[in-house]
Amino acid sequence: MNNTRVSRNIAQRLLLIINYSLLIIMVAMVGCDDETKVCDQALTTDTHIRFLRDSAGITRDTTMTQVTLYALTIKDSIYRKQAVSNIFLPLSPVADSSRFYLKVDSISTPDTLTFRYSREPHFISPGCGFSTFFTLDTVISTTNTIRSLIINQRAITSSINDTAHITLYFGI
Amino acid sequence: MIQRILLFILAFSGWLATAQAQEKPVAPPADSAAQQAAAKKPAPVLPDSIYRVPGGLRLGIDLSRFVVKAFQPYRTDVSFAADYRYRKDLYIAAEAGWQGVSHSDSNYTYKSSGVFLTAGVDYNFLKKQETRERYMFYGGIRYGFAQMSYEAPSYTIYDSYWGDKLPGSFPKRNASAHWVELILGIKAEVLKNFFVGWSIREKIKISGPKDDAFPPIVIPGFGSGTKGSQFDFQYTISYCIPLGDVKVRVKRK
Repeated sequence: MNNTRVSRNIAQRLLLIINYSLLIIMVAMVGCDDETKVCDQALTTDTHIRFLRDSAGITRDTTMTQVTLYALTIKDSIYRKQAVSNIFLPLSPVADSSRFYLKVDSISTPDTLTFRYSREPHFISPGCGFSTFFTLDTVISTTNTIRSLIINQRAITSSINDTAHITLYFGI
Repeated sequence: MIQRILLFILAFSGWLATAQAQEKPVAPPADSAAQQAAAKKPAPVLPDSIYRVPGGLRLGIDLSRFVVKAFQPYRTDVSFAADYRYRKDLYIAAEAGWQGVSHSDSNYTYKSSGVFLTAGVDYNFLKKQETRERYMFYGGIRYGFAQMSYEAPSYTIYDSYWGDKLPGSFPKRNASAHWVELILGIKAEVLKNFFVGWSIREKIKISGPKDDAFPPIVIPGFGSGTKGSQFDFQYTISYCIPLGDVKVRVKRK
């Protein structure tokens, strides 16, 4: 009887000690939780375009030697005479359509790409804030050098994936 | 949604019913030898032993919410907890509170306010106690509900190509959330009728704000606006208003 009482008192004292010390542990746990401080996600929502060469029925990835790209209304180059096989192009977040000038090498005739889309502001995270997401409606190109194009994915968001939104086919 | 809630309440009340049923002594199986012995010499029938444990309504405030404020300055939470001793080991428990959020940085401003309510039971696992002692090591379950409104009065999207700053705003919208909490905690009477206690809890969201483009940052009483489950804790000081005793009946063997 006496023994059980002693052990019980120890248990209760332990309970009290744990009780007081826990506040400190809890403080440490919340310490790393301010979600507005860090932005660990991508905010850019660029359209990923992949170049494919189509010759005699065989298609393969191709690097264009001197790619120049700019929006017709801005004229600042996004790419200037760069050798690339993929391009990332920013759609206008203030209009529902954008037009781009694309010249892929020094001798070919330049093409114009026209994008029509809808846009929606999107909350990325408490740390990052907002970004614009796009949904492609139609994409048209002139066919001077570009042979055809395919829309692989209409939703253009901040999530990073390897599939290009659009594939451009060249015949040269 | 409603079906899920009803199903949950039904399942839970079913569990309660079986728990109570188990407390009742089960009639021993008929044993012919024992029956014969009883017929020869009738055993004296002793009355049930009855003792009393202190009952009452415990009202408390969650101090951990003020600690949260120190680490997440954009959050202001006030949370109260209450429980009522229903049986020797069973307590009816509830929490209610208010939350305001105000955040502003170079990317956006955000405001929200809302209330929450949870209700459920706590079950004390501590068996060997003197009748007047009120220590608790308990497990609990709650159903939680929150109602809130939130907005982003202004935001800026930075675009290096099309223009430096593109302003915008999200108008005020309403949202609600439902969740279930599983709780483990202790309570100790540190002064007469004054209790200090803590608990850890896992909150599992049943339904929440639907807006994918602009979800709330925090939901009152739950936590993160985008996570499906959330770990949380409580540190309460409370005062117990004595409201008579709870009778405990023990059958004589």
